[in-house]
Amino acid sequence: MPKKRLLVACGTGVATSVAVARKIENILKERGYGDQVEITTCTVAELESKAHLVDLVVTTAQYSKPISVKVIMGVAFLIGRGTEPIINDIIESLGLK
Amino acid sequence: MNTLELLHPELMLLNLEAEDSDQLLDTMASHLLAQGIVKDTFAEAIKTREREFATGLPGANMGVALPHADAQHVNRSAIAVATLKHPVTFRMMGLHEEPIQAEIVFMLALAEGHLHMELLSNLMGILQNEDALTRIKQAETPQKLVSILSELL
Repeated sequence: MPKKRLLVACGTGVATSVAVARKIENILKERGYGDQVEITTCTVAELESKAHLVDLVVTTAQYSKPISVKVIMGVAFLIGRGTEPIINDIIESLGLK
Repeated sequence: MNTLELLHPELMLLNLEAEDSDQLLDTMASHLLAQGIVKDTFAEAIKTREREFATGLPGANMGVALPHADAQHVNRSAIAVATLKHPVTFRMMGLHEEPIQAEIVFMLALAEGHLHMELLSNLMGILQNEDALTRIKQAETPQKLVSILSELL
């Protein structure tokens, strides 16, 4: 089965998106989904051109432009509170089994 | 890269006072510039970024901000840290309507984020750690702050 593609975006693409991507990767691994998902990072400015290449977007920046895939707000991963509903949303949105 | 190489006593700014976030960002960026860590375009870039993509976050027991800018404005990676005498208002990352009263500011000058995954992930851990934030806030000298951070990061 081809891997699901998750794109994590932040303002600069060098700090928070990288931290959030790592956090999500670790949680998915813990839950046994590690080998089903490929996670990449980018800047919010790149989202419009890259969104069609992925299955789901998680972002730490405010983002309101309509794009072709679902966008989930991921700031909770930086705060460390309220992540459970978001991780469930990610698992469900990617259709991980 | 060793985390210790990113921490310099000259960039640990204790009990800093600032009128607002722009002034604080200018002060911190000027210290990074003086050390040759960043280019002279960094200060403007980091203020613009902060307006477009706010970096305030509610830490475990106090507000924190993590301003940063594109790698093109950075010569080599380092972290400047300011503990604030009085909280400075930032806006919350991803939720700009929400003000964050920052008491600690980590200014990230990163030449390449992916080289620092471990560090960034540990930094996020600090935000959620009440004891760690309190120790950072109460650090008495730049040297002590460096040693606290090198232990935490």
